[in-house]
Amino acid sequence: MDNRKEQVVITGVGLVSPLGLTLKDFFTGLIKKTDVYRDIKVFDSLKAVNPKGMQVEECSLDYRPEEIILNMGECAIRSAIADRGLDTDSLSNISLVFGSGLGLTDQLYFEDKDIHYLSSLGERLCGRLGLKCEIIYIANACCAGSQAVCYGVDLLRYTDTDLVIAGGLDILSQAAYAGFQRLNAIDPDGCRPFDRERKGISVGEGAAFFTMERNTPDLNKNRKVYCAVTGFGMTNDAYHVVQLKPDGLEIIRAMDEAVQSSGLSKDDIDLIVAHGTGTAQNDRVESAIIRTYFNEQLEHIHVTTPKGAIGHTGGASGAFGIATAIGSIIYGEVPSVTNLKTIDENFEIPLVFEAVKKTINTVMVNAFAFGGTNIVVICKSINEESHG
Amino acid sequence: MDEIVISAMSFILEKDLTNIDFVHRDLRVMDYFTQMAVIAVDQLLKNAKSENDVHERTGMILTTNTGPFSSVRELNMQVKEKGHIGINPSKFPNIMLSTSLSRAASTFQIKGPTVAKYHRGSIAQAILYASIQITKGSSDRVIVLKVDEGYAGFGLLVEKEKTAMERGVTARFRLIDRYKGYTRNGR
Repeated sequence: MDNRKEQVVITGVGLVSPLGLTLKDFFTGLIKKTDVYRDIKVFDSLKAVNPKGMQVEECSLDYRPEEIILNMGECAIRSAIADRGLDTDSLSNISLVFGSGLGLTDQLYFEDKDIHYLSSLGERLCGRLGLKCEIIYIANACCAGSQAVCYGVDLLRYTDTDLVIAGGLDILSQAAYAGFQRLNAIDPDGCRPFDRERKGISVGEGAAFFTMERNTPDLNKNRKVYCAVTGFGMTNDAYHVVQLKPDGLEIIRAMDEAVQSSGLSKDDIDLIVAHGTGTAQNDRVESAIIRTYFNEQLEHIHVTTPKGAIGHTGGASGAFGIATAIGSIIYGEVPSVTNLKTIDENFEIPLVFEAVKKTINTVMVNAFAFGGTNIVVICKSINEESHG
Repeated sequence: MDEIVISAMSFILEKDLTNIDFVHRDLRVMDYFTQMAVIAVDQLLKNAKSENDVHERTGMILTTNTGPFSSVRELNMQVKEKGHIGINPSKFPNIMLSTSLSRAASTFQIKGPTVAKYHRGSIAQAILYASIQITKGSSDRVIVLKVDEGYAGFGLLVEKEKTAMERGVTARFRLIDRYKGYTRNGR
């Protein structure tokens, strides 16, 4: 593997989350376990259900799916660019790589569109932003956001792209909620990842975007750098449309690929941000995999996941996992797993019950999608002396 | 010999789906979009003399302009008419692009890097993605799959010329200058 060709770093963060609109608000909400689990009143026609989830308050006034997703994307991307600090006009080679599981799907509930409508999300976003750039729209379900970040790394290493804006976004989807209900995948009491009583996901929404660049001595001197994305692994279970393969072998392969391509060892991992959906099978498979792959290294590793707090944000969830990793690195604290009360007795992994202050240098972020794609990303502190 | 080439192609028109002898255990829940994806990969691997290979290091990129548009429209209509009760849970995943990718991956045991993406215009992005995966060593070969509802499914196998020749397959096209000027002016 040739993943260490050039180091790629994250230089700007922009978030729209149920916990707030900045990295600080998001991370503080995770640390404080802020409860944002609410009735969803905007769905038009689910009938005979009482939908609940984690909504972005600023976007919840009216259910206009296209408008909401564009607003969220625009806000998060503008925030990431502003956070980076320099006008992007000075750069000619920019790529927007974004992931969205369902994108514009729900707009078709309200109006008929032409057959090319679903692919138009990127152009609509760039139209809002006035951004001239290459647009890459990854629609690979729940791993789309982290896969977008991975491909951003590839573009910076292997093409003449100067700046990548990468991340994920998805809104509360009436279509998805209805489908998850029919799959009995929603926990009516809220998502409780890795808990003995867990019964499924909570739905969430949001957008998480990052500006990414090649690391250079000048960049490191003149600009805020959150972390490096040192490597990643991608595999497919080749097993089932919506289920993880019980043996988890392909996920382990992705984890190992991520560690190896980062030039690290398992000993270097301080924190795992698990996919942690709160469904019976997913959490069982993921905890077993983490135990199998890390084994004795788990003595110094913490495991957390943001989904108990913000719900499953679909194509944005991997990007929110990366945001959780960045928060842990720069604030020197590991958030707990919200709603985890009694760990499933079969899970032998060091889950975080209460936030822990700890210097975090290297984080593994997991994202596993409907469709079998597994993405494992490694984020590493770059200015270790300034953290904590 | 280290050149990256297109070694095989496949093509299936949607209107010809009913004339093809296609057997799959989940056929009754597959939409046309997914059927085109699976058949295009089937034909591609046969054309590439690669149907019996181990595909742990084979990647796949599914790219589309339309996505599973009819399935999305149908599901929204069912929600409108009957609420969540109207939805067939076995067909619900058809609204996600990852489902077609998954059907193709699981049918042919493709376990390398897989991605589903929307695009406007050409499939250059997808071919670039394939080239990068091969260059950096995460895949030996990548299936580039372009499927558009109402039209066709189209497959390309991208790999190193050497690996194609080892199977007795002659390269159809070489990819040149694949990384230069990629993003300039936001093509």
